[in-house]
Amino acid sequence: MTEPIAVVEGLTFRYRRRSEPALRNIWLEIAPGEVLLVAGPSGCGKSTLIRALNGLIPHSYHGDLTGSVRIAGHPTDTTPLRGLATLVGTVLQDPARQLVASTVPAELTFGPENLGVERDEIGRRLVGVAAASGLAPLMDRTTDELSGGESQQVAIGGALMLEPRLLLLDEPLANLDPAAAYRLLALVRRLADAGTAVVVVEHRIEDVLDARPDRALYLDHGVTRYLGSMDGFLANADPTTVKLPFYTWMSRARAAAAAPSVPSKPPVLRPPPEDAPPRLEWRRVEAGYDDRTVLHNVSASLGARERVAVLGPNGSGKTTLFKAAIGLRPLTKGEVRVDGESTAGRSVADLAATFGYVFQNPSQMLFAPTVRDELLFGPRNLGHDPGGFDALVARALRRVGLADEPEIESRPPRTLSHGQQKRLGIAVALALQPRTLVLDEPSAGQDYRSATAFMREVERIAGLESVYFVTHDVDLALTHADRILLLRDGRIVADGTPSEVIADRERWRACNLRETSLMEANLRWGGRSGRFFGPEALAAQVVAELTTPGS
Amino acid sequence: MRAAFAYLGRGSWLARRDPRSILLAAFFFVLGAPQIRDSRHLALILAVAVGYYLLAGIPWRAVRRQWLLLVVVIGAVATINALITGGRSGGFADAETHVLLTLPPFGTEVSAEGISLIATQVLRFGAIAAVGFPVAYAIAPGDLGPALRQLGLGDRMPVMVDLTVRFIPTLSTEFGETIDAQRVRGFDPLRTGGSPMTRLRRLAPLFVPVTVGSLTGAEDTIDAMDLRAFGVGKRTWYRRLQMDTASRVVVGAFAVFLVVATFLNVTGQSEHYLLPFLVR
Amino acid sequence: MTAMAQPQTTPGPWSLTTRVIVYSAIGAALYAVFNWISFAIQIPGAESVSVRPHYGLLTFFGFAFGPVVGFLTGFVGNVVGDQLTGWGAFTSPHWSLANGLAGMITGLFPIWMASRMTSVGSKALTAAVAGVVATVIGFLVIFLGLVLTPELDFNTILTTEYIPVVIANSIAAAIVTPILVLAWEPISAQMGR
Ligand SMILES: Nc1ncnc2c1ncn2[C@@H]1O[C@H](COP(=O)(O)OP(=O)(O)OP(=O)(O)O)[C@@H](O)[C@H]1O
Ligand SMILES: Nc1ncnc2c1ncn2[C@@H]1O[C@H](COP(=O)(O)OP(=O)(O)OP(=O)(O)O)[C@@H](O)[C@H]1O
Ligand SMILES: [Mg+2]
Ligand SMILES: [Mg+2]
Repeated sequence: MTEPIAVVEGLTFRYRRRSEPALRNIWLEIAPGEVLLVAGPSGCGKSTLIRALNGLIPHSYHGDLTGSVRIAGHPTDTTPLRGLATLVGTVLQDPARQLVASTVPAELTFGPENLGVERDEIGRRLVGVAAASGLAPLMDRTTDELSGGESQQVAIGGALMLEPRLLLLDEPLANLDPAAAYRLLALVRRLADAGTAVVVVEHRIEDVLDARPDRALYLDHGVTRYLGSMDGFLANADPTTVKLPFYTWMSRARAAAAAPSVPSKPPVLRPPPEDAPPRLEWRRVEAGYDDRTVLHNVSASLGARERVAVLGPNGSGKTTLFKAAIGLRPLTKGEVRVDGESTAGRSVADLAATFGYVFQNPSQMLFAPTVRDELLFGPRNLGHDPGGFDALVARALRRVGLADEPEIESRPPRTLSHGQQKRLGIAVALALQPRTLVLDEPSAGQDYRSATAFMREVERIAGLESVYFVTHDVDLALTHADRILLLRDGRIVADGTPSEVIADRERWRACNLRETSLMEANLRWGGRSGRFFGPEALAAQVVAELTTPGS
Repeated sequence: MRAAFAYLGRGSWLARRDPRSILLAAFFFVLGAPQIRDSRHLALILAVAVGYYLLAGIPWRAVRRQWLLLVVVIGAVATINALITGGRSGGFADAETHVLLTLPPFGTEVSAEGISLIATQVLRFGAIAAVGFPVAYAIAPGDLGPALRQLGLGDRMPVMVDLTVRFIPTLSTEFGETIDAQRVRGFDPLRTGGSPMTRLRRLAPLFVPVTVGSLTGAEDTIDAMDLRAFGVGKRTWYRRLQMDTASRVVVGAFAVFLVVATFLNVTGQSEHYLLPFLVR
Repeated sequence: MTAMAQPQTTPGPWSLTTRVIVYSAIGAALYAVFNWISFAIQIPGAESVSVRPHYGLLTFFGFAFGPVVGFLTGFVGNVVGDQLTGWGAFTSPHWSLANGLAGMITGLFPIWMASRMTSVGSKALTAAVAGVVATVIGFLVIFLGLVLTPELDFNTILTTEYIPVVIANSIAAAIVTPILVLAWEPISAQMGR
């Protein structure tokens, strides 16, 4: 047996200003060439474990540490970061912030330069890393013009330049389209096959299976709930907290079939569009940034009572599409109509009364001293009646699942966790009592339970007529939309019901989308309705069908 | 409008020079130009400076606005100065002025000396700006750090400057996003009126989230640098700039200019010049 | 085996640590971007009398992260910002120096007044006072303009540059610095490295 690259023994860590430890009594060994998946709900300590493995704990983050972490035999608490840097490479949660140089080559050479590696040797590594991680086409780019996926790739390249024996990736897939995610995971597999140990923290477990992880570690509240083979993990993990492939639901459903009542989601079919004009219509719209046109001749109309999902590759213009619709990007050609009337001359604030818009990164707007003030900023700007404010705040918080947080209304918004800030962003939009909700990437960075619970909750809001959302999550789109738009290179390439849109697999893949297990299962067992079911409902239905004699 | 140092001069003659020569040229020039006072000398210098500027191949359309602002601001300051002093400043401080007209209500004097001084300042700042533009537009991104390093600023300051330049487009995009997010909530960033204090307070929804957001993001940046051993010892600089002959000529020419300007200043050979056609 | 994370030797207020470099770079970049935005949406010429929220950013960075960050935010921020608007990085070195000094002086107050700042409120008040004092002192440097632009006289600089800028900047410092201190305080306490 080979020596393990990392040994964690009885690790417990509490951040200095916290009362509870973020990690408790963790035991772990990581072997060279192994891919270890780390999963668990938001706030369970995944990033903290990463920090303990790369030495930021205890070198940069202070607190109470017991137990030990050794990397290739070196204890992290007595080995300086400089020494650890040659052993461990880390890619942090947010790629945009960890690129520190102006150009891609300068970013890649940053690490070895700091270590004082010879120039010839740096040059040699540069060529090797560029070839191995597919960075060659990016070598003459500046770091600020990289897309999210490209930034991830460059960040990984920067870590590989130190020739680490252990590579740590913290949620590398958030915000990547499925094809970009696949490419990244294929790279992870190649690295592991070449002998590097890789730790991947991820919520998107079905996607991570592409990297064929050897083992999984499941954390909850800082405690190890599971550590072992991938098969064992898939068989035992709770599918309501992490997103698992569909077949794992089947086995659970079989087991549960003995119990009579099946929790099946009642179909939320909305009344078909009457003769009312569409809520939102783009007519031959062209829009973009500075000299660059992003949307080309886009025409589409979205009904007043529809749930619509927009999918497409990174950078295809999904965000721009809705920004143009509510007046945040000027149109260079064409027209946008809302409820049958042109929006020319209407202000953004005016349109905000109809559309509640939740940005891809809603924390970019949080500024108020308390959550309550944050929620009321919009209603106050729009001159709503202060009498109803208490009820408004309470309702908005309840809907996004924040009402149970202690003293939530008086907390400074920025002190909430990432996932919570995202949900607060949605509450902010709901506080404006819109008739239509527009969500940009509602599930990114959320654990599976929060994401699905929230979508279900939104669909129950009285007075909310329609939901339009942008996502990379194919399953979310299929199960929560009546209609799907596919966008590619700023053009709409498909528009129809989920089953119509996925019928053309060629086109589906050309939009950087992939076939998921839930999608295949729905096609196989979902029936003729053309509707797509969530994994729980579908599994229950299939099992019921299979066990009913004569069907 | 996104803020970024666009590499607009890419491929031009000046962009192919060692960036150190562009930096040194601007530096020497700023030291030399204030020592020249004679507007005839400055006119000549401006002509040469514009020639140098043209070597950077910066498209006019991209910098039109900057030039306009520059001329307006310099013109305004110089004009106010001329009005306040009535032209009795600089080399004319003790002069008998030639008053061209007197403006009501305070009897402000517009003098030939004042106008001559305005001309001097506009010419000089125009030349300084012309030599300064290539610093922003003709240095390849990523070369600024190595250039500062090889100019002897140590290991850390060049990284700091490079990091600043690297963050500008990112923060500018985030700023744009924040403006958008607040407009959706009925906030109007361009609303005017009220005292300066009220207006500043009203801008809080813009500057608070951008500032606080970039500070929380800074934690990631610090981690990313620590994890790649920044600042622990002597640093290698992979990119190494080479001075070619043409770059040396550029530096040499500007160094000579500085010496000549200093000489003219010390020997009093470039004093303020009264434009003769203003005094009949 | 138990290993308490050793209390690290805190680097002095003048050392150029990674943290200082990153905060300075972010401060300077923000300063330049804010400056650019007010440049991009304003009528040319109205600058010296208009509201300058970016100035309050500078005093905040000095106050929250110390004199070195304050100096670099002001100095590099102004150099880069001037370059961005086309004014030229070195065209007005004395203005860059003035901004740097103002940031640095603001950064000295928390060191001097550490014992007085017991509550968040007193901290915010100190920040406002520090910002104003630092502005009044730091901007004296712009009288170097007498050397760099020999045509200008003392009265012109005093009335058209020093007084209006010190007034506008003091207002920005007095209003914006405490707002940012109040916003940042709870978050920095949470992050607790
Ligand atoms: N710098 C810090 N200072 C204090 N507490 C922290 C810090 N970072 C994380 N925590 C706390 O430690 C716990 C674990 O956080 P961690 O970031 O490791 O979670 P995570 O599993 O990575 O969550 P997510 O999926 O949202 O990224 C949380 O309660 C969090 O609030
Ligand atoms: N503020 C901006 N300034 C300049 N270009 C931009 C800006 N925002 C986006 N772009 C560019 O416009 C194009 C479309 O961007 P958009 O954000 O609409 O894509 P998207 O489909 O939402 O991508 P993602 O899935 O990554 O969120 C991209 O090429 C992007 O680089
Ligand atoms: Mg995390
Ligand atoms: Mg997007």
